[in-house]
Amino acid sequence: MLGQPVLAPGPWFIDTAHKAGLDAFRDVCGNSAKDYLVETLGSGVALFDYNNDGLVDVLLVNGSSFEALANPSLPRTCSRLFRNNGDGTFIDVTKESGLVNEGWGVGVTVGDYDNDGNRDVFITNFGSNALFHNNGNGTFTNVTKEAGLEGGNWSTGCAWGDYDRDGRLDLYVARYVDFEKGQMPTPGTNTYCNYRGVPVACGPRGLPGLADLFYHNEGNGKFREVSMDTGVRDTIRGYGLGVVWLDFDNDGWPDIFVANDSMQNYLWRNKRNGTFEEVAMEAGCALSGDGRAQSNMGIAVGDYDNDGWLDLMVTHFSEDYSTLYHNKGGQFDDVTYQAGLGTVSFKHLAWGTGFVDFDNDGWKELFIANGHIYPQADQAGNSYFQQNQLFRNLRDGRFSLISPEESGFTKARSSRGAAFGSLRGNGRIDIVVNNIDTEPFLYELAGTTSGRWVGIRLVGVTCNRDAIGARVSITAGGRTQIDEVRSADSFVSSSDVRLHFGVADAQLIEKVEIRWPDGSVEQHDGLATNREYVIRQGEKPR
Amino acid sequence: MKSPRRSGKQLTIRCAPHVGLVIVALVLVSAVIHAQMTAIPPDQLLTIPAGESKTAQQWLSELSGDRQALAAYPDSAKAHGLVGRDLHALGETDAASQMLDRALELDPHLTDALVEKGSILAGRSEWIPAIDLFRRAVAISPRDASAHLWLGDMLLRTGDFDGAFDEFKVALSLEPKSFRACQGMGLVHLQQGNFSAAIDDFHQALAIKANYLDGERGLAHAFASAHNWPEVKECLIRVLEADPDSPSDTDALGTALARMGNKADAEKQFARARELSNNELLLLRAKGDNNWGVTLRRENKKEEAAAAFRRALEDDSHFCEAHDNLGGVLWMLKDVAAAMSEFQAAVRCDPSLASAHNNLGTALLYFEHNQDGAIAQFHAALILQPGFAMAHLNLGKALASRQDLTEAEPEFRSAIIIDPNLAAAHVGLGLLLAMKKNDLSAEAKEELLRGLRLDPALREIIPQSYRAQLSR
Repeated sequence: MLGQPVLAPGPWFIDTAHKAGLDAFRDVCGNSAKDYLVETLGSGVALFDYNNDGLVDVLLVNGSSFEALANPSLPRTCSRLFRNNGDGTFIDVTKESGLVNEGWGVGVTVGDYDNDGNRDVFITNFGSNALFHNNGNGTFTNVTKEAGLEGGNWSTGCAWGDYDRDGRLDLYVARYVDFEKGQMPTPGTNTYCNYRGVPVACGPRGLPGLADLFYHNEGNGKFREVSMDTGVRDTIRGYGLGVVWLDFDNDGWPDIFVANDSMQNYLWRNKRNGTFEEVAMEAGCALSGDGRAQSNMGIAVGDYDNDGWLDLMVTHFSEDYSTLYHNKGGQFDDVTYQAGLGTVSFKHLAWGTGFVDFDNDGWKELFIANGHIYPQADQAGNSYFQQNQLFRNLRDGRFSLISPEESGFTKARSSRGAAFGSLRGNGRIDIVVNNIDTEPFLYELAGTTSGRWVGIRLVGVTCNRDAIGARVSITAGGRTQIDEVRSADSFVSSSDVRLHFGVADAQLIEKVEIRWPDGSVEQHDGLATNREYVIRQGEKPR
Repeated sequence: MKSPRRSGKQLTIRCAPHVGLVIVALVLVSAVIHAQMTAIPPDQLLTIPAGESKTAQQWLSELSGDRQALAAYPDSAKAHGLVGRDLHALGETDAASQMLDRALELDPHLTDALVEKGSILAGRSEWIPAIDLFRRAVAISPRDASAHLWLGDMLLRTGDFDGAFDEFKVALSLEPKSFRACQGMGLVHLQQGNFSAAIDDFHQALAIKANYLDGERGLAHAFASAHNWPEVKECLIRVLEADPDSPSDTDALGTALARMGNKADAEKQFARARELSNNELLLLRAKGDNNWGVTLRRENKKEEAAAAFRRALEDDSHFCEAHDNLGGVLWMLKDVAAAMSEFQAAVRCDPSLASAHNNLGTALLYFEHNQDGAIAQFHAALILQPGFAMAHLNLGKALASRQDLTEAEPEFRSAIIIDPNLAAAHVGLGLLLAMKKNDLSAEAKEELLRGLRLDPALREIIPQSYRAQLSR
């Protein structure tokens, strides 16, 4: 049966960034010529409730410039935290919150690492990374040094997760290129510095990589780098970008998938004894279906076909497709062509992405943020600014591209990070997209949908406070859906931890099963739809 | 005006020739054509349609004749086009490109020149200007299968799948035995998710040209998309017999074996694929360091360049060009013994590296005065790369220094045919002709004067007696 959109005709989304006040943020990422790779990568977004007022706030990570790094007297660009006013508008609270990241920001992950009930923020930088402890009074303190999380050089994707079930969030930090400006070739100087014959920024091919970092949370505000101890050995120093934690093999333990640019991905399988093994090739998600290394960047995780296994969408460079890996019993197959996603993604250079049921029909749509890395792409027959894309789930394993007029994604920019969450708390999932060198998009879901929904916020007691890593399975209208609480996904971004399920016309959730990060399982039933529940571990939903 | 298949020779950057001394070539890695990954790997380029199959020596002979024709008809578009074609066939793409540009200035409708020039641009990944040239070619000569094939390939690379398919279809109708047209159609069908049609296309390509590796690869991919794992396995076993170090095919074979339930063999393939992929990554990094070394060398930062080449060898000790380039820069730093050692290492590491043979020959000639050894190395370089003008020149010099004047003369002439702007070759020929007749003949004088016009500094190596005659 081909799926019919539940959403009424008209654009699905309207960009309300201006109205909401988010256009006060303007991303800065080097100079406009983008002579160096650092200037092309852009930054992420986090959607989270930083002040526990129940509303989803917005953190837009910002880059910087070589000039600013070299000259402290120049004005700082910094990441900006916007508090949700609850009326569709936001106010910049960066300064008073103390969440001031003046480094060249790239990625972000949100997690309550000290389980004090307040969400903390970790930002990766080109330079030292930054951990901001949430003080619980609307302010943050930079505790990077005390925590031992500085990292170094160029970190990108990052994500919290509890790999050893000790109830504390550990941290994976992907790193990209060992970048020393004076040691970098300039555009056009060799074969790695040309795009379709036009001189462009060099790399990452041919440049030295950096090993990823894996930190264990020691529980006293300090972290210990444990990559060697745990077997997470990035010995070939891959070009790491996106990072997600997911239980790909349904064994109840969180695994880690890392999207590596221009080489094979990593899938670190949790061996349930505090160590990991790298199994991406064996699991079928290291390379494309024909064994090619692709330019892996963003990652969407979701069970798009509702078969009980989490699938992966990995976004890629232009002149290649973004790859849909279907998970069947812990084995991934590249089903991009079968899903109808081959030709439609070929010209786009894709970044942020997510499987989200926007129309609440019980089947997840696919969102992809696009934009080239080379401004010179315009001279080479492609476009620096590209439209973002929304794909309708046809419910038979295939997707179809929704036209820009219908999706509302008519404005082309060079988009990067994207995060998802219900900014009005009304069961309608919105998207915030960080666009390089300009203001962001706030795609507010505009279409009217008859589909019903349920929102679930978990509160861990014997596990980490936001239950990051918990698996939730709901059954409604005869259909079972799954999802997990994640601290980061898409491209270097962090979406709201509240899980959202569309349930079409179901009035009742027949069953909710929660597998908490500590392995305990509990069930609830008979939940009414069209509302959000807070489920505290061991207690009834409220 | 058809071209043979290109061998993807190294782009060689030569140091400025120094009077009577060594010419050291620095090799910029060939690497991959593109800065970023493409869906269709460069080695699967549909490439230039097979035309006349000629040896490089035959192309050299063609070039000689065509240069004479060009001298006789300097305003002939066709003559320029033919020289451009010959130079392209000999791997001299920059010179070829200039000739073809001139041909097209003289006659914008010269289809063969449009296709030849387009193919050079395609090889540089300049797909959009290449498309323009191929479109012009098919508009002028709609029955030129090669132009349609090229256009289809470029459209495929830029994501115009329907347009590409149409071009491949026309190419196949004009040339029913075009396995590349079948391959192109298969690739389009694959992208569009039409696996059964893709399988038919790849089968057809293989029926026309058995053992066509890209055809087997395409077939494997199509079967994998259709989850026909036993067929995938068969195709990839055939591919890996011919190309055993391919990480992508090894991984894909592992996947097929795993899906067939053969876990043990699958794991072996994955382990091998992982090793090959890692090696590939290290090689890419070595190439990156090598490229950086070349950049530093150009900026005359010789010590830093040497360090970059050494880093490349640390990344991948099997990356032979780095030995060659390190030798080159050590030579410039006047550490001749170390340079010689690197050139020898380069030749040992990759006996097919023409530049290394040329450099080793040069070192043997000028450092050890080992004429026979040098001549052997220059010969080796020319067997590998017959269009290597510098190696012809060096061989000519080595032979002349051994008083083999008769054998030396054609080498100087070959160098000039390939690169008429090679000043040292003109001067060398002029001196040789003078030596042969013990007098400065008109031809010798003309060659010396040509050489001096191109590089006045070469005056220093011309004996005083001849210099006086030249100024008369």
